[in-house]
Amino acid sequence: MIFTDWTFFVFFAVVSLVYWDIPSNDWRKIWLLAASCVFYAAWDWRFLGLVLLVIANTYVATRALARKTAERHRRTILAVGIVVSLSVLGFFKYFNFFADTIGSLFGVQRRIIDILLPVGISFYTFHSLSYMIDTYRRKIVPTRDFVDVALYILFFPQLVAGPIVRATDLLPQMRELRSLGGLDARHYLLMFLVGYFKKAVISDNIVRFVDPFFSHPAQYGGGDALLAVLSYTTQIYCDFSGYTDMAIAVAGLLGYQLKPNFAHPYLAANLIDFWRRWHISLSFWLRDYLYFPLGGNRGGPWMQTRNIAITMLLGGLWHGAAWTFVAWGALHGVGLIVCHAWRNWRNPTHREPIGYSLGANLVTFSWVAFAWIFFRATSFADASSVIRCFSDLKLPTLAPWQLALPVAGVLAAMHVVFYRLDLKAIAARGPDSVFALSYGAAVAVILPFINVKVEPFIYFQF
Amino acid sequence: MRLKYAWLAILSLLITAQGISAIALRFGFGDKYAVGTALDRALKSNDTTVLFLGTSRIKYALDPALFDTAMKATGFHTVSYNLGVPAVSFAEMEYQLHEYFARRQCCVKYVFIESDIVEEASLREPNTVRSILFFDVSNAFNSFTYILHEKEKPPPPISNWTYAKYILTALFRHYTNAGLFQSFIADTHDNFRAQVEQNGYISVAAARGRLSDTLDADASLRQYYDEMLAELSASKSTKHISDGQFARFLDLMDFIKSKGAEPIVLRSSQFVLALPSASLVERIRVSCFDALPVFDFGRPADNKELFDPRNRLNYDHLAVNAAERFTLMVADRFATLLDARKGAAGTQSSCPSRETK
Repeated sequence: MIFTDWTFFVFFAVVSLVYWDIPSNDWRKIWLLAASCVFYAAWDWRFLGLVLLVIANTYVATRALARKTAERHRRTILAVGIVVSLSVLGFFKYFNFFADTIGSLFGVQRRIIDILLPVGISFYTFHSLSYMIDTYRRKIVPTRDFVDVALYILFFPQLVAGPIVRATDLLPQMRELRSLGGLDARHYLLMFLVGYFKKAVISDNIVRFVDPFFSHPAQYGGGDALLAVLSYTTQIYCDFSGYTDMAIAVAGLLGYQLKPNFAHPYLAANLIDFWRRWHISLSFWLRDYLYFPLGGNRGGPWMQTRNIAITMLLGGLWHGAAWTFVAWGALHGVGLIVCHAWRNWRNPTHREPIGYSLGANLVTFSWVAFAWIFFRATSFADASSVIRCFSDLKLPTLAPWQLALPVAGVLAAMHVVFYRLDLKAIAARGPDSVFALSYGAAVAVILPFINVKVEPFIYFQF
Repeated sequence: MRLKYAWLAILSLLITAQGISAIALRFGFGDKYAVGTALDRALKSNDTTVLFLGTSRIKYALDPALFDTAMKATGFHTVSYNLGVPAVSFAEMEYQLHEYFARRQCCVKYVFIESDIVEEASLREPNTVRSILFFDVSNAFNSFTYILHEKEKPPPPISNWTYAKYILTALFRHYTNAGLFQSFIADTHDNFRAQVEQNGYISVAAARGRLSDTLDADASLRQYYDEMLAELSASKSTKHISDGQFARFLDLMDFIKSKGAEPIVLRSSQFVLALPSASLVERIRVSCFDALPVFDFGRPADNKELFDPRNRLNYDHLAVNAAERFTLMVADRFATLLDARKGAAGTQSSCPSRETK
């Protein structure tokens, strides 16, 4: 069930109508939990047991952490909890990867078993880990209510592709009865429409320049490579940020507030800035639960370099069980290390020359777009074919070359228009009847442009 | 209270969508809507007295200009028009005829209708412009009720639930335009407005290759073709279509009669999905042959020339020389029918099966 599919609209209409009709908070949470199970089971019901295992592990570990005071015991409990949750992730996401890697080292081609990847496993595992670690760090008093823990991990708007919500943000919201009166429904409805537009109109349509190229990159020249890489840069942003907009809106329409996950990332001045704007919930998760525990920037430049490298390599591996994702993480790691070195070396009082900011934007954007090649390519051979294409100066054949301009224009417009757009203020204008009429008309204008073939969200594979 | 605004938004959506649809059609987005394009063109021809309806086997094989010339040579004046549409479904043919007679009250005296009543391209391709524009509530209902009667469906078989899903999808898109522009770009259907037609006929003179080339290259295909022709020649079964399908077909014949025209069933030299056509013709022969004329060119044993692989582009379509021959054969049979009627009572008895149904 995908947010852009009509089955989801029916599902959500039923869920929200019943939800707001239930007077008790406890029953509302049970209803949401049941709906989340249905939502997840619609992908593959067999993996529901796996999520329940992670939930049970998280609940038991956090309750045990709450009862124990001795540091030694607490550390053991945390370690066991983390190992159990990570084992699920490790086995289901990385077994094939490590088996293939070891197999190729020893010349073995055949897999002993082939493991299917459960949808959303990386996300719900991170939910589980952050809750256990925050409980251990005494940042949160763990709840006794199993439904709360289950709903925190299974809450369907953020279940399969984030944002990675902290228990400290979501659990307190679950304690109170959400009020329909205080709901900013118009804002969330508008946000959903913006997300839907990004995904169904831009991402799903631009894919036609991406998939044929990346399937056989060796057949194309430089113009196609430029068009395809630029298109993918647009596609992945619109796909993921569109999903996030819809996830935040869906949660918001149920009375829960999720934090933003994107802040116009391609306007970033450098890679440090980029990671504060792109997949914010992940980069802050990696910072708080990996980079800081490794030592962060304490211990001098070399330790910082090491910690950035480890964090970004693991961050790359988190996205997908393939060496190309590790390479993508490595490219960002190298970029971040250079940015930190540049920042340390540069005199902070130095006045920047004219055009410095724009140049920095362009360099950052180019590096990010280049790194996406490794993110999208299915092998290093394909990635190197893509890079080789750039040396062959040919006009695009995938589409008329003039289409490159609209593609670039769409990307720029997505950033500039939405950068200046205050959705909350727009949604608040005028009476409800005018909003309803305008909303219906806006949907009618968008619908003819959607791709009728509903494409899964890119981040669902992670 | 809030539901009131939801209804208001839905109403706004539907009204705006209709406006967009009207503008889009005006600017040529209906070019790939074969049914509508063919109908619009047919209605521009004012003096039409003979209409041909059917699939691509009619569209690419029956030349109205040649037909009229041949008829003139036998002393009959006709102005014919080919309203064929590739893979036209029975519900689409119903729609074509209802629309045609609703918008043009005069002149048509004879309607030739092909006996192929199991085509269903629009029913299985809900993402095409053709389906999005065709499936309003009325056409969706007519199509689905016909599917429920259908005894033999084209391969691969799909369940009635799948048909319902496809039709509902197209229906939703019809009223919201969802994906209309994308369908327009990606739709592989021909741009019918761009095709050169003569009174609705599209010539296949430019098409190359013959079925004989394919069969000569593979003996097993040749054997299959010969066996199928033998089976088709021998077939007298009426069981490939249901009573409901037959009744629906006769309803359409009655509708044509009610508009002052006479229906004539035309069985083309069909090879693919030919048995339901054979059954339809056989049922007419058994129950109401005298009342409903049937021009049967579908028995290979009687029409060797049309089934000769050297005269066919592929399994189902005639090459241009055979198409001309087919047109002349239809004209000859029609002239014979009209000759026989000269001096006979002009009124037609109703089909017996309608009274005993």
